[in-house]
Amino acid sequence: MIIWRINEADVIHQEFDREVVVINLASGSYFNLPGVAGEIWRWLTAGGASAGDLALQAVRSFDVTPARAQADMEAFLGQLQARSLIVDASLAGQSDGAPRPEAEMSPVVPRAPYESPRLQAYNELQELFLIDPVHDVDPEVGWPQVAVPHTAPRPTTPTRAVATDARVLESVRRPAAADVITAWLPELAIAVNRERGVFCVLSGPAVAAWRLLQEGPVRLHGDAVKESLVECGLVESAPEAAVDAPEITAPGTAKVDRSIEEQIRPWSPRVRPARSAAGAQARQFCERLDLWFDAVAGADAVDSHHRIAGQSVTVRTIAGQPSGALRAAIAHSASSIGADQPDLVIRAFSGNAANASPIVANLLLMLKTNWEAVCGPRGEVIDLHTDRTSAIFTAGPDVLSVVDPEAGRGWLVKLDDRPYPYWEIGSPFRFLLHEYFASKGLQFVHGAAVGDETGAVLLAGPGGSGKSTTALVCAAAGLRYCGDDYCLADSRTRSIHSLYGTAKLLGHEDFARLPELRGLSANSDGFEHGGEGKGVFMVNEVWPGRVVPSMPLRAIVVPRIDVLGSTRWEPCPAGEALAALVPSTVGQLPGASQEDARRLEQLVASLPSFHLFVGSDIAGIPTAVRDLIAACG
Amino acid sequence: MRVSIVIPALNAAPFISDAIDSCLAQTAGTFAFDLEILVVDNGSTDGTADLVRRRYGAKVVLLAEPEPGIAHARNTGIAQVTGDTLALLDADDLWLPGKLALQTAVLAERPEVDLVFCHGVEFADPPGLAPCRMEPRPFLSSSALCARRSAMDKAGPFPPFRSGEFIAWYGLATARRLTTHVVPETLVRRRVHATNSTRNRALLADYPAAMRWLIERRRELGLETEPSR
Repeated sequence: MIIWRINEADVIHQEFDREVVVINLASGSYFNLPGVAGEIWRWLTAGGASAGDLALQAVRSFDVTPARAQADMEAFLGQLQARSLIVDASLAGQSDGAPRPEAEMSPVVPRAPYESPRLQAYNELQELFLIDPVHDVDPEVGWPQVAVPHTAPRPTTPTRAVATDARVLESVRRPAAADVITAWLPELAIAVNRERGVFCVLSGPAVAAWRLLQEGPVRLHGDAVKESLVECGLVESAPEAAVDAPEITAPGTAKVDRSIEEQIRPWSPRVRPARSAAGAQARQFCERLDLWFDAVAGADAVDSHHRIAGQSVTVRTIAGQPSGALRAAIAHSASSIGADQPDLVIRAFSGNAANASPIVANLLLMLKTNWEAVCGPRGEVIDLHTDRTSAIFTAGPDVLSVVDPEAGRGWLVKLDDRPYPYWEIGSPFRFLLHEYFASKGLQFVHGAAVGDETGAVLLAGPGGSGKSTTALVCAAAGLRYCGDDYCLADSRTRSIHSLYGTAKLLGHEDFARLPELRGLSANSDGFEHGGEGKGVFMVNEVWPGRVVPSMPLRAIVVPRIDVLGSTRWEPCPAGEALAALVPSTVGQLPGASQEDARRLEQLVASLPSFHLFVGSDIAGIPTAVRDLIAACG
Repeated sequence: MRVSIVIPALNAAPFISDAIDSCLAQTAGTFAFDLEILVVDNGSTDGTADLVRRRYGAKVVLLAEPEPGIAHARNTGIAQVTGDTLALLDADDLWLPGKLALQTAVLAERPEVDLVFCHGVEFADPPGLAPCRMEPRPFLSSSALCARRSAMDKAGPFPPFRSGEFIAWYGLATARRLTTHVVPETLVRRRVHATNSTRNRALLADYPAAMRWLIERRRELGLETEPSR
């Protein structure tokens, strides 16, 4: 006996004057259930019921023989099931909690006239229902529910089927077009697939296998490693290469990590563009940007001069525009040294494309209306993606970043006059500074840095790992501060340079630890001003002089929250530091390349690595950090 | 030919200028029609009306409809248009260049066609953070519609439901024998974000009521059997 229930996951329904209207959102069909049909639907809404239950109920309520009722119910339930309006309750995994009608209950008197239940089905508006996006919403979770990314197809079953037989020697190769960045240590490799938002930590012989795979196909034993590599999109079958490919018999391990998928995965499913030779178009575009800036600024251009990692940087904004707010994050690096001949000039402004030259206006129009058509997967503007210039478009805030590192020129153009979101206020010009400093051999790192008069530690790890808390608690205790999110590292001199003198807090609960920051957030979209964003704080405004431009780097520290334990530190393998630094850094920086991974390898190889276990003893953190720096001195 | 565009707006300050800019871009390179843009403010509290007034001045006719509901706002706008052709655009969606040129050409060449739709795609705002379908598909939805004014009169006003109002309206329009044509070009981009009204599960409650309304209208037209009592 099948107990039927309404398919609540896909169906919405309502009763109107003895008729029930039912909509199946999955198919886009809608239905009218008049009279007896509506009554049966109402019985079904009260809980699960079998055809026999419903026939009994029908005989009680309507003037119908048990035999006809049974036949009608079975036929009607068949119609409902065929249209997925009801489901088998046992298959749906639902318990049958509601009481079903009892056979011995006396009939309703007088019984109503009976007609066989009719289901009136309408399909003519299917297409309209189906283009409504509501069907992506999980009824359990509700909105917003982040979808499985279109760009991250799960591995196909055939590949898995082959990989489960360990005796099969399968030839695999790297997919030619994959957007993969690998960082290597002698005993370990971290391969980040930026198309899928996933990374794989390889150790043992798998490292050698991956190295060989850079050259060509490999015959690989061991289904576990192969399965991980396939899952990460790092290899695909190469059946034709079976004979002469090198063979790896002891596979080692490959650990798949999807924990920062949201940060790594691309914004659109485009193919990563290759850099073209810089032509007249990119050069002209940059010139036109300067002319446009001058036209918008008139006499209102405002310059500020900064010294960042030994380079003089001029930021030129326009009085009264939102871009002025971007200067606060780098105010601590203000300096007049080199101001007369800056190494890098950034023009940041909001502009109406109507006043720009046609080549600029055309591109901006395309960006505003259909950025995916003119950009790569991370917003790389294809026309400006050359061996000389780089550009990305950040849809949403609608910001275009363009940089010509060799000429020392950058532009940040906001295509509307709205304020910048908190992440731009907290870490402005990321793309420009990453590209520019990469050309000088300096590495943008996703990490925080704090220290004392003798040296500093770089705190690495994804959001939520305790990196920002550790850095801020240290700053509050009087330690020097170079940033809580991004810093510039130089493995050649083993030093860390400050980019942004900002700190970000998630919510009011953070003030319990850091009461000095209360009321001081600088951004209008943060939680302190009723917004949903993080609060951005200028550290030097809270603790003057606390932010320093540079410090000698003594160690890389990977914080671990351990609320039950005491605050303590102990050495950890270099691979842990590399895994904490590489995926999040190359995942968050659209312009990152294999060169970034190479500089991060050098940084990790040149410094000792530690775990810092952050216990409930928050006050002990600064002491532990000072001790750690002293131990490395 | 004059094309009137009706844009209902409720707290649309973050995106309405993108929508209006995408309308203004429609006349680039063509002299086949002129534009009338009507923005109907449906009780915004985020300065939408001020923004539109300040930024577009006389280029946009700004109307107010205090009665809450996108159907009311649309109906108020449609009642005020002066064009012989009408197009609808939701404040958070975008048109691609050439949309109106293509659709008005279909109306000019094919007198039997009343309603012209197009294909459309969805995009996530912010990118990557909302589920959306990026493959082009036929968009039988408000932002894709371009219609003869006379056809809109024949179809009647939008019924006052919080959701399903366009679906029910279109169902009645076809019941009244209006002819639809869908061009294969992708000309609309629908923004998918946390505040999309169709994403709000609570508002879905109006779907059955909208379909009930359609069934009753069809009964009035003799297109449905009456329920037996």
